[in-house]
Amino acid sequence: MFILKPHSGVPIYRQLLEQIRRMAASGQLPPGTELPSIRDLALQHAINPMTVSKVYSLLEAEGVLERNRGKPMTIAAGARAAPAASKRARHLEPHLEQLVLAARQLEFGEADVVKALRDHWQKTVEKTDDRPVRRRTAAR
Amino acid sequence: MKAVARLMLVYFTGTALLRTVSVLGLTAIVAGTAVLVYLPPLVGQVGLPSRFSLAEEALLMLVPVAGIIALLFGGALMPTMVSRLAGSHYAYVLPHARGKLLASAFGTVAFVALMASAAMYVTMNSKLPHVSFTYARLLLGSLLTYSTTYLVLWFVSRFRGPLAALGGATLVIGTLVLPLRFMGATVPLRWAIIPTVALWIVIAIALLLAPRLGLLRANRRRPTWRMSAYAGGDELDLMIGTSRPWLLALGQIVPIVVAAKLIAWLYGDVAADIQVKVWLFYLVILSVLSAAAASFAATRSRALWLRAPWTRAELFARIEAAFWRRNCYTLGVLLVTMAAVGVYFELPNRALAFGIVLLGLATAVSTYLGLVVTRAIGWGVATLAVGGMLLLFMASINATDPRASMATIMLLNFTLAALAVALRSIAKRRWHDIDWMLARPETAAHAAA
Amino acid sequence: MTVPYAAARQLAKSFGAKRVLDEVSFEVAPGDVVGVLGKNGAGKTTLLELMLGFTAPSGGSVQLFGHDSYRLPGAAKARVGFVPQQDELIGQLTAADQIGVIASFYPRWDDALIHKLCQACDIDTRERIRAMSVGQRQKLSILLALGHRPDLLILDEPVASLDPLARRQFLEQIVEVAADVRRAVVFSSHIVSDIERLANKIWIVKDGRLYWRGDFDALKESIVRLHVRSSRPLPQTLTLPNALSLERNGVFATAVVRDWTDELHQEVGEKLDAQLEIENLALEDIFLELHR
Repeated sequence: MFILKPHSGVPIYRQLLEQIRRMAASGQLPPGTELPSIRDLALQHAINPMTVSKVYSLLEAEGVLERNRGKPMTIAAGARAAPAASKRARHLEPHLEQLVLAARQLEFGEADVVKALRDHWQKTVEKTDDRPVRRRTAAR
Repeated sequence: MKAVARLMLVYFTGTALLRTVSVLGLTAIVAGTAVLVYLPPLVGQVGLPSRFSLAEEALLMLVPVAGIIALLFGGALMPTMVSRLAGSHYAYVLPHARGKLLASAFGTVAFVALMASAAMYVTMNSKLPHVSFTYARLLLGSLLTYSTTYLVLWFVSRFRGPLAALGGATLVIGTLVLPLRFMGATVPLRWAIIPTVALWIVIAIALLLAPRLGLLRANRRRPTWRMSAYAGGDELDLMIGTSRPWLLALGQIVPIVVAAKLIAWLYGDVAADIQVKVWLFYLVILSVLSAAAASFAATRSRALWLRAPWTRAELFARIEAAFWRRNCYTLGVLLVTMAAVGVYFELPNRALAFGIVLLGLATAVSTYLGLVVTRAIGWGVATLAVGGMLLLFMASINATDPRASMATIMLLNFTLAALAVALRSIAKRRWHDIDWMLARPETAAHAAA
Repeated sequence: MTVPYAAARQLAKSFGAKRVLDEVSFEVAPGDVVGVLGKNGAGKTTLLELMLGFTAPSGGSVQLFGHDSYRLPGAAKARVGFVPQQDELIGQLTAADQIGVIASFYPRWDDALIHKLCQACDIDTRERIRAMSVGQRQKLSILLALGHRPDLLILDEPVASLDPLARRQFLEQIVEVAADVRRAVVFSSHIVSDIERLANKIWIVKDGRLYWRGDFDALKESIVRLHVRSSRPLPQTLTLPNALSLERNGVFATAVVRDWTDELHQEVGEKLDAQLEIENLALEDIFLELHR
């Protein structure tokens, strides 16, 4: 379900936190989806259960996750609807940063980057057009 | 409590060999004693008629004795395990570890002593009314004997190398012989109580207070009194430990001198021919131990395989030669001692000759026995070893006995010679395709004490 | 407030004139998984041995479950499990006998757990220990420390001789222990990636002192590598706050700094008139940087 890289510089808890947030925000994890128990997730990835517990608690406080007595944590109902475009844009920031940095290192100007982005977008959209997958279209 | 019980159980049954020996020993003790109790009186030696011949009687009485010795060795794992556990982190981490280890050690000795003394008491009281020992005397004597024997076993197992084995030999004599002194009916009991108590106090202090005394840290590395480190000489000699033979040869002098004092003290009032027997017996033990270093040759020679241009067969020939070179020194000293003993006790030449021959045979048999040990000891080799040792000891008792028939002595000596030749060919064949993966240090044997 | 499972105050240890540990203070609370990192010879093993009472401190104090470690009572010992660097099994015994002997010392022993673990680790309990490979002996050694379900598990380089599959099994075992929040684990390892997965606290032992003691996530967020690209050549005497290393090359500079905060990002960027790129480091890189 999640991709965790313990050896990247990013702390594991942050990786998990942001992945769950993203997936809840984008609807990849629809409300009501059950998350694995702390122990199972920890065992699966061979990470400290307290890390998982920390993430679950933080997300519960944020309202992204819901605790059900005796049952596993689930994605909260309001998790999907709430994030406005600006909040979702925040998730895009790290990727934008990387893009801008790479572009500048390669000495691309702003116009070049936008053009390259558009080309790439078209290509990707065409490829996924025929697949019966829920598409998120671009900015509304 | 359950730890102590569990430990004791494992001491006697931890390996297949020990389990068998323990069970056999217990059976022999119980069954042998029972048989003796229900038999008609064995008073053949007192001149009265009996149903059994002297030999049969002797054999029947030997069964419980053999059982006791077997049980003693059945618990041979105890000293090794106690010292291993006591010197490891487990001594600190397991709850009340040291106390329980001490209790299990004492329990083992007490168990053997109880069985042995009970058997002896029952036997003596029912069959030998003219010999009377109180149970207390038997028990205390046994406690002392077996405490020291296990201590010797521990000592011998800790160190490797011929020098240590020699040290062990000296102590073996002590443990076998000293307590007999104390079991004499006229010796006050405290002579048995005091040394036993003192011994156990020392053991208890060593075990319980070891951390405070810094003993355990120091003993982390097991010392090996290998004699050949960095001495000059051929690489072969260096590797297999024969590079300073005079050291070992002269090193035997110490136990010989100690033995001389002991034997004089204990048996000074006994007839000369018995003293000679004791001497020869002791010298045979010494020659066996000196040659027993050959048992390390297999594991030590593994480094030579890559370093030297010899085939396995050539390797065997050279190692055999190296050991005989070394044996010349050690045997020389022993022969001189034997000659001195013979002269001192005015032995007839024939007896002296047989004694000398016997020492040579003992060295040959044990050297080749050691060389046969190229992998873990199997039942075949073990039987050969035990059989050979028994033969040696029987021969040593008879060789200088003026009453023994020439035929018996010759027969024993020829059998021994044949045994040596047989062992040599077995060793040669084994070395022909020696497998060093099987000859790991943990699986190589120390000659059974 | 519960008694910490382990606690030390100004702990010091010398062997003769050589000072091996100095001014070491820490606490281990239930639920902690502490990873102990350090160069060879930094004092990790000594630290663990002091915790368990194998040796007495030269200064300061160390306690387990509120008892002085050196005089740890038997009941407290039943709550601790220890795996030494080299196994101390008795070669002549079978695995079953070895397990039986160790188990008999403890009031509680989970036979089912041991059985399950032996199967999972492919250990034949009828096999003689001297016939086992080094890896199997180490696995057995680890098992023996788990059987009595200790509250505090201390391991000294437990996986040094294990293959990756066995290491993963070991990690999963630690996760199981850690999942019970009433238990704690302290383990030292060279295999930084294992610590990286499991630890929530890190102790870095350097030259006999605790160079870092604290939350692992905080460590990762505190020590970062800065990539600086300034609009003008950087001065020779360039300094950065709390820099562990610094390299300058014209308009570029790379530095590893500790105690990094977001405010500093703003400050430094302005001060140097530069773009700052923050790179988070893996634990191994952090360790290397600290020892430059």
